[in-house]
Parts: sequence; C-alpha cells; structure tokens
Amino acid sequence: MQPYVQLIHIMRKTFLHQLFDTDKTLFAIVCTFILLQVFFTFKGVESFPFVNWGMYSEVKNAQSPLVYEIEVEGKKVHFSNMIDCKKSLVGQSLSRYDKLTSDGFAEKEAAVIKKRSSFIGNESYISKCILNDSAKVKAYPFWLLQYLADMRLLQNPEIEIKKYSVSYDENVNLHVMSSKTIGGYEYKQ
Amino acid sequence: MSTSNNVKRAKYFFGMAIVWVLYRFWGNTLFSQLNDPRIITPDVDNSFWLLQLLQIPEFITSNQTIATLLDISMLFLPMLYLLKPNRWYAMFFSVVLTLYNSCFSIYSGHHFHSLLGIVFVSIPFWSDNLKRRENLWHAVRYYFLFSMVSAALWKVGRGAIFDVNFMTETLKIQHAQYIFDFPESMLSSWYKWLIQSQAVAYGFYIAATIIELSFIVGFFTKKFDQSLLVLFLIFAIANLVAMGVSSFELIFFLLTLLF
Repeated sequence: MQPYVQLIHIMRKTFLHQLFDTDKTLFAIVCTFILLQVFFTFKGVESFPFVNWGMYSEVKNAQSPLVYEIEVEGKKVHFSNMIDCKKSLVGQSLSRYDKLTSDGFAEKEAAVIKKRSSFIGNESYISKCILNDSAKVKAYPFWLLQYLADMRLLQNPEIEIKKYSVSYDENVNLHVMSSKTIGGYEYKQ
Repeated sequence: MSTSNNVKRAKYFFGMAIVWVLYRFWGNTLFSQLNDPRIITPDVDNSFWLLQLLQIPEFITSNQTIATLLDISMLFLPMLYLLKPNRWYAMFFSVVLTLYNSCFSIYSGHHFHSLLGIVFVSIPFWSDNLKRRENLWHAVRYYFLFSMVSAALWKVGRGAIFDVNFMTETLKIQHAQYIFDFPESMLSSWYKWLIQSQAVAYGFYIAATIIELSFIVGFFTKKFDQSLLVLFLIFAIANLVAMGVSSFELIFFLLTLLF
C-alpha cells in the first residue's frame, strides 16, 4: 500500500474524522476549541476554559521561602492543616494580600489594562473592575477574621497576621531570618 | 452507545457531583460561605475580566440570598437529574459550576485547574441526542488525555525534568508552611526526609512525568483505558504523599476512561 493511502486510512479512523462524518456542528465546535487552546498556549495566557497544564514545571528559588502566622484572639490558626479547598482560599489570598501591600498596591494587570483598553475603551471603568481597591485590601484582615471565625461568636474579635522569611539548614530545620506584622484588626468599642 | 452505559455515566457523574458539593460545603468555600471577599485576582484571564466587567462575582458574593440560591442549585440540580434526566438541569448545573470556578479562582488568586474536571464532564449531558452525547463524552476523554500529556510536555519543555534539584527545591517551598506550623509532626519528618533524599524526590518527579506522558497511548487506542485509570490513581496518591496536593477533584475525568 502507498504511504499516502495508509495515511488516509489512518486519518479516517481518527475521532475528528468520525466527528466530521457524523456531526458537523460538533466538529466545528471541537476544532474551534483546539485552535483557541493552541493560541492561548503559545500566547502563554490562561483564559478560562483554555488553561495551561504547566504546574510544577517552573523553576523557583527556595532560598528563603515565605510563611505566615495567623493569630485569632491570641491563638494560632494553622491554615496548612485545613481541608484542601479552604487551605487554598486562605493561603493564596493571604500571599496576594502580602504582595499587594508590599508593592504599594501596584498590580501587573495595570499595564495590560492600558493595552486592552485601546481596543475596548473606557480605561477608568476597566481599572475600577479589574484592579483592587486599596481600601478594600486594607480591610482584608477583618474579612479573614470573619471567615476563620465562621459562625462562631468571638469574645475579643482580633487578628494579627505575621510574615516570616525562613531558610533551611542542612538538616532541613527551618530558621526564621526576618519577621514582620503585615496586618491586623482589633475591635474597639 | 447503549442506554445502560448512558444511565451509568449520569448516575456516577451526578452522584459524585453531590459528594463534591458536600465536600465544598464542609470546606467552607461555597458561594454563600465566601463571606464577600475583599481581594480580587482576575489576572489577565479574558473570561474572568468579562465577569468582572459585568460585576457578576461581586453581585453574587455580596448578595447572600443569590449566593445561597446558587449553592442550593449546585446541590439540587444533580439530584433532580438523577430523579428525572433533563438536559436543562445539566446545562444550568454547568453554568453554576462555571460561575463557581470563576468566583473561587478570582477570590483566591489562583487558577484552579482541578475544577475543570467537573465542569467539562457535565457538558455531554447537555444533549438529548445520544450520538452527540457519545461524541461529547469522547471529546472530554481526549481533553483529559491532552491535559495529562501537556503537563508532561511542560516539564520537558521548561527543562524542569532535566534538573535533578528541581523537585527538592519545589518541596522546600511547598512544605515550608507545614513544617513551620508543625515542626515536630510525623508528616513534617516525612517531608524533611523527602527533601533530604534528593534521589527519591527526583525519582518521584520522573515517575510522575512518565505517568503523565503515558496517557499519549489513549489517543491511539482505548484498549489501555483501565490501565490509565489505575496509573492516574497511583499518580494522585503519590501527589498527595509527596506534595500534599489533593487531585481528588480531577477524578471526574476518570469517568471518561471507565465508561
């Protein structure tokens, strides 16, 4: 058999070919999805539902990892021991709060807004919707306190959030290099 | 496609979806439990931007009645579908799931890929046409295969797989918070041992990449689907043991290998 005949034979067996034969609408939808997935992959941008499955492939520096300590009413709350989805919400939002406050509320999205607003206009409205409001960010510790307290009534509603820069020694024990209080809330009558 | 297979798919998917909603409720992360978050991270995701421009996430999370109604619909739509299959229940369920995935990602500041499993596997139930449903089911199966193979290719493409120290450095970052919180626990001892044993850690990484890459076989034949399913379960357990990452929510994709 000629190679190109073999190739046609193989192509006829593919899912896309069978889809083309049986359901042309779905074939068009699937092809559009594939093209958009390829486009966003090469652009290096994630745009739901077109995501890049590149987790744990980026080289990161582990010289001085950052860890956080949360104290509610003077008691430590260990979010690393929470159920997975809650741990993600607390841990990720906490590190985002830390980044926003340390960078003076500067966000990388601001540059993208400038670029994209040249196409869709109304830069001030887009900025208002996409960027964080510094007053709301400052209220994050209060949100975290309420979220962690969940329906429970607190005697003295107060929270303190500390950040530690740590390093490992040769026995993989952690040592604190520096610490800083990055936020808190205290109820005042 | 046999009708019994179709019934089985629906039964397993919507049954698992109910368990998933209860898990999210237990985790205090449903719409009404988010407690009107203060920080947003739509990143540069076009879809998240659209939702933000329409102010949908804020509308949902700042309105407790709407948030509660959406939570209730996430629990009851799968139940309704199990009682009386209707494509509108499935479509509405997918819409609510998509909103949930977007809101949770925007407010936690991370794209949660694991939630794509439940969203994608809900799509085939949109159609009453059995042939189209069958095709959609296979399309989702191919997407799952793509996600696994793609994860392996990213590791090869970015060179992480050739760096013997990569996994050790990743583990140091991954477990710093846990070791800091519980320095004397047994789990911390295990994590510390893994960080010290560079060869074992690298072995885990290589094995995970090989498992991911092996899903390429699924593009050519369905003969090994059961083996791929077992490989995924091994992958998920290893992920939990070494990285402390739960891949439980990706299990929805496994249904496409099973039926």
